[in-house]
Amino acid sequence: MNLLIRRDGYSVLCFILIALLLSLAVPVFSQAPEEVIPPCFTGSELDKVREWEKTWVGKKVGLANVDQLKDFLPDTLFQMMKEPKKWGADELWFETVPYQYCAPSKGMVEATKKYSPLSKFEPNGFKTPWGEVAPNELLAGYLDGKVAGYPFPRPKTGLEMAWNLDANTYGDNHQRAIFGSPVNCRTGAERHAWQPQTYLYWTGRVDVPPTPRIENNPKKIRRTLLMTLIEPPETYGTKVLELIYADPRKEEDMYVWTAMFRRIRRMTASQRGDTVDSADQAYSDSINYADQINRNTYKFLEVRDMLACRHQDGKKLTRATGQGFFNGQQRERCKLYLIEVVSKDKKYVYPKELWYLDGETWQMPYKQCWDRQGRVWRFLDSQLGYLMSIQGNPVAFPIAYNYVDVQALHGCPNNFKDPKFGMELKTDMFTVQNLQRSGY
Amino acid sequence: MLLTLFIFSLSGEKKSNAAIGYLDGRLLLKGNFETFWIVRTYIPGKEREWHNSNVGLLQNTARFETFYTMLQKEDFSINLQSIIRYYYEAITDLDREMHNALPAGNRRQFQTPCFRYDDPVNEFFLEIVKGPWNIRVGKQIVTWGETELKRTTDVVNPMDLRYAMPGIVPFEDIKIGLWMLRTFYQSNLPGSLLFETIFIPTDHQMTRLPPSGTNWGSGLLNKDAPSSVATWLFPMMQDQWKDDAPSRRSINNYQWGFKLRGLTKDVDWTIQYFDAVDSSPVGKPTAANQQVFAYFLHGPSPHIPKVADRVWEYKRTKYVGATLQWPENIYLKGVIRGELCYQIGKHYNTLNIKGKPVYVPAFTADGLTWAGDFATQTSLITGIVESDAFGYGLAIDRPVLWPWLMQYNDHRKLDITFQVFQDWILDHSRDLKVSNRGIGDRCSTAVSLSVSTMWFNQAVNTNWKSLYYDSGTGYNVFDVLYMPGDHWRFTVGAFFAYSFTSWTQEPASYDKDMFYFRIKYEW
Repeated sequence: MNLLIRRDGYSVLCFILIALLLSLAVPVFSQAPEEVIPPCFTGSELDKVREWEKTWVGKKVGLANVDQLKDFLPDTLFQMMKEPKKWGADELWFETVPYQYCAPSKGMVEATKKYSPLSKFEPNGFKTPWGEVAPNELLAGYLDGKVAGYPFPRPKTGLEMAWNLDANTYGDNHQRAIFGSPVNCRTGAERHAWQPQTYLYWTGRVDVPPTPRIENNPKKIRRTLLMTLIEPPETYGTKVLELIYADPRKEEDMYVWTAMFRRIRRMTASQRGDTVDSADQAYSDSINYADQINRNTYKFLEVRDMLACRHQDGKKLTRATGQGFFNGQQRERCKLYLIEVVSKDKKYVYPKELWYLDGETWQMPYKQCWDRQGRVWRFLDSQLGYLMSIQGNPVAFPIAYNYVDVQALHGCPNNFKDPKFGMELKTDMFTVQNLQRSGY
Repeated sequence: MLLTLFIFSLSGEKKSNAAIGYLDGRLLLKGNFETFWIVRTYIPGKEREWHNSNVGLLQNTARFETFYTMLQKEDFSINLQSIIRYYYEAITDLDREMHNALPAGNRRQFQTPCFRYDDPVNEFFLEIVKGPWNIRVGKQIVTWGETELKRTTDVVNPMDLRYAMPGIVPFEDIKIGLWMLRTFYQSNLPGSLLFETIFIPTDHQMTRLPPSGTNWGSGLLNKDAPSSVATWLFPMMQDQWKDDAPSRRSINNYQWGFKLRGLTKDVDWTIQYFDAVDSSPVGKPTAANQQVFAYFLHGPSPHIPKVADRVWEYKRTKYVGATLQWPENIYLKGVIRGELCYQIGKHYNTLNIKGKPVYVPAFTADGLTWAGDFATQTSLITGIVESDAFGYGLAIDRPVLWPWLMQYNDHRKLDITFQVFQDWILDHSRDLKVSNRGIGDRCSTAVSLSVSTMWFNQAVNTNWKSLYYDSGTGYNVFDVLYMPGDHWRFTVGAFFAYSFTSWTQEPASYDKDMFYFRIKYEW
């Protein structure tokens, strides 16, 4: 105020400018998340859902009554529930819970509000080692990390939806530990995996400073992962460093410090389609889809009213030994966007995939993959939880996921234990030298 | 160990399938129990007298690994790590002929970790991590190379070849730990340079070679076989190699080296230097020749007195090397790994290849007397030469996603690794006789191929490894590993050696076709 009094001639002008700035800022802070990321159901549609829920919420859905909900489930899941013995269970069942809006974090709302109006694609295409990025496929500003948030909160094409999926950064920095149990459902044999993981997103950051990107990033890294293998026992102490780059022209880098051989091995990107250990997923299947968006073409098929896990309580997931698929999922009504995904790499392990994307969290509750003979092969059922970061931001995150091989009758129920979001991480944690030093 | 486990049991354990944790996870114990059998498919008739069965090796091993975090603060930690490995080789007791074939001392040294300086402690070191510094003090195994089956730059730890060959077990399981000080410093220089130094003040270990009469050693001939008179010559020499090995407490054995690691334009590289005392000796020409004569004067026996204080010498060699790793994703779609090494001042024995008269001076030892005379045996040592040598190893890893195979192996890759190794002895003498190369050969070449894949959701793993030397010898290893759950591991394998030219037959390979079985319990 002293400033205004001393410079009397400018006081009115300053006041007007401040008022103008405030008026611009008010909509950002006051705008409800629902206005930025639209909910699945509103108005009369929501009323109908609530009416339906009066019948179904709290009910255990299993072999006896799953027929009534066939239209709300992917065909593969429905078939599995009809034949639970094949999956090592007397019954496969889930519980229906009420629909709840998944409000994104404040950072995600702000970033979406700020960057999505400017979202556009690069007009020029280019060639890559695995194929071509066509004009209007690469999100403008993505390579330099100048964008964040959901670029297309009201998408119209499959490609726009896929970019929304890619925008999820799960608290920007997060840690979790996979407890997996690959199960041979024919024999009941299980092997266990325990693999703590730490992720750092270098671009697209929305919740933890610096946002939207880490400045010192000359290699244009999109995401890094540091993973330690504790189980199976013979892999104890093995560490994996993975670097995914924003630039589609650059293949990912993977370094493995193998405890048994005490040396760092570089892995080639050509094995991205290889199966991970004894699981029923390829390397590119991690966190729903762990690769660059431009590697595929996308065709939006339809929006379907379905049941999916979005507020899963991890403690409710159960299974007997030898059972390759969880029981106790908490599924709620929501709208899923079905997208047909075809890899541009003709030799890729999946010639076709079907992604089910949730229109609020832009995550993937279900995925179906076909083999080269055109048969349904792998299926993902992801149990999304609604958690909180250290800063108190909501984080929609798959607290468990279940890949199955419907041909081999093999399942891999995985829990993410002790997930933490938004912790401080140093970038030098994700270096080859750190990998070398942390080995023995 | 039992007392230790009891004490820790009072503090409450946290058990997983992989390790047992104590003290809130600051102390982790893990390990395995293993029995490893080798059954030979062929034992030559001339060696049958020393075998009651075809079982060549029956080794039972217990391995305990400890990871103890003594102190953990923000950027400062102190850890203690150890690997204790105790084994008992049983067939040299159960097979009475093999038992009788080995002198009692040699047998005991072979059966358990008591071979002179052998001890059950494979590794035991304290690690201090502070900021960019990492200091490790204690007994350690160091891996500096990039290739498998053969070593070019990985020269810090000597090997124990008494129980298995590279290919059947990884190098790291047959390396002998050394007491050393090892430091790392992570710089902020371009390329994220990592500086590593090694100083080994006194520790020296010789390469452990299999005793004659054991599975991997040269076969002992029947007593009435024509050449049986020489059957104890090699055991005698082995005893003397041990006897002449440098003391482990002498500062004269100091060894040191450094390594620089960096990343430039997507290539991981290292430059390294190591000043080492050789782990294999060369013979002092006069004394070694006298020793051989003493053997024949005495008559066949492994216990021949030494003719001199020192018959064998362990020389010093300097190694200058480099390695690289480079993923090539456009054409090869694989990873190229390479290593090269220049050996400065490597010592070799020259032999009396042409059968010229060599004077063997007079000696007297333990009642044996030789008056001195000329001899013409081609095995006589004529001198020691010092030559530089250069070698390289190049490996190409190419995982293949082969659609036909993927129909049957859960869509898994086929890992293919091709390697080539070459080395040259510079200023080469035609009188040199070096293992795996012909007489007078300046250069030796070896190629290897490894193929592996998994089946039934990683429950079954199949591997094939093949190594061939241009001298005409080589071997194939094929094994199947079955992993039904978290703990049990079953391996069935076959090892087949071959030789295309009789003059290059290595004594340790011509009769070494075998099957092997391993049962392991991991915890």
